[in-house]
Amino acid sequence: MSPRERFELIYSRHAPTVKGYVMRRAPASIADDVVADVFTVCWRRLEDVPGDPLPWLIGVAARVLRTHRRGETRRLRLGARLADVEPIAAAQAPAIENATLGIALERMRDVDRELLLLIAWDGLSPTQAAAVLGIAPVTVRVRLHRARNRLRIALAQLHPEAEARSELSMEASP
Amino acid sequence: MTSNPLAMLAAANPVPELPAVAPIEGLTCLTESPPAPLPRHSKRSGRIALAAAAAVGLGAVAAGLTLSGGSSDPSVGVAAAAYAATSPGSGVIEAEFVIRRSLPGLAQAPIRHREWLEATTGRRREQTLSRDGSVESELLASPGRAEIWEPRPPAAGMILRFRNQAPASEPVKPDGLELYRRLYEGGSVRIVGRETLDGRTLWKLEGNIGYARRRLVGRLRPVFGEVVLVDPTTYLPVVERQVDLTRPGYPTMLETRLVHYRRLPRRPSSDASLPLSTEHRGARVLGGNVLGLAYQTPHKLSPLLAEYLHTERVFLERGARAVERGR
Repeated sequence: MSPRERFELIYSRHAPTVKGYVMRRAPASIADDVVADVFTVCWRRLEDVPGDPLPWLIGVAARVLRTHRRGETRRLRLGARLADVEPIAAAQAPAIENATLGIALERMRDVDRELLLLIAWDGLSPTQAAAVLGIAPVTVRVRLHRARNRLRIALAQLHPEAEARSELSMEASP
Repeated sequence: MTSNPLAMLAAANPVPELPAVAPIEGLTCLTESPPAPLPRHSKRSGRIALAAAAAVGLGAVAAGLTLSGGSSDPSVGVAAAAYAATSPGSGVIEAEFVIRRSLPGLAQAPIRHREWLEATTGRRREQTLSRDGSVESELLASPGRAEIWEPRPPAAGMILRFRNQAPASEPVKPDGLELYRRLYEGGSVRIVGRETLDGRTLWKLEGNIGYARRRLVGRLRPVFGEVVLVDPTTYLPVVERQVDLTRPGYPTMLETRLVHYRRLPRRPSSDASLPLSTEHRGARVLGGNVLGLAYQTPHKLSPLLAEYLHTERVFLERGARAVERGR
């Protein structure tokens, strides 16, 4: 398989997933540009792309998004100084309709939140999520368990009436 | 409320279905060249890399690195290629643009702008065209002087000619290709990434072009930004936007699209055809300080000049107000 054929195969299989990842964390208007940046890196580093390219691509997308946010924040601050406008916060946490869940997610540590979202939203397996986050698969399973419990507790704190049910289900869960 | 947080999260997925992606043809410009490995970075070598980059930067400055000299910085590479692509060499470049404006007080209908650039004499000629292709106004500029001709009243039958005291400075700022060339050459725009436009992935260059200060001795602050989207294969500008940095979201004030570009060989006749007075025989040439007069009574002189000055004033006034508010 030629480099170009391999690249096209990777693009056709994984570009939608990468774009979905970006759209869940950033404005849809920049998704195509971020995806283009990710696959530019992919083409240039094709020989480094592992057999399962998805975690590698998601990792690149995360870095591209971080870079984009830094630039965006800088420009927004500049605009705010000039025009006396409140700076718009860069999208750190994803915008979701369930406000309680959104608040609970915001309260979590970045690494816990990202781990949960990689699995629940992006459909990655714990092993793939481990590759994205750069930690061992065994470690990720422990972290996932803890992150799930932390989110459950955060939700219960936000919804005291659901706390009792939550505690019951925690005892019942494996 | 479900007690399974992962199930809750999955149910709140803002993008539950896989989205459609741009066809891979948009990245064809990438795969036409073999994979070029990016420089690798590791945490351990971060400081060494930083020190090396600083050394390279100092070396480049010491060596007087210019655009045409090349560099490993992709900004310089793209800007240099864009500069080269828009340089007429020994001939003449002919280009045509469609300009859309969003400025208060100016007509919103798109404008067609045609221009010729000649490097050997530093001359450029610009025409504003009506919808039917007829010339609405014409400008000829060269270092130290400029001429404007219009067929309509109040300046019908007149050529407004003005000179600068400093021979190298220009009475009328350049537009179109010459504007981009100066931005590339001066390093005023730098590459910031890519933008997809109509399915094409283009290089995106940005920079600040308009500055304002509150006091004469105050600090200059950027108020207008320039965005140029460059074709990755020809390095020609596809779209140029002038954006207002003083308003939220940086709205576009002017958007210019290149619709025609070609290189013409230089002919002996081109020298003779460049002055407007030879093109428009019988027109009365109005010299002197018309630019200063136009500042006071622009409507009595030239719609083109008035529009030009109005645009400048809108830019400057808006910038000054923004700086005032920002303090």
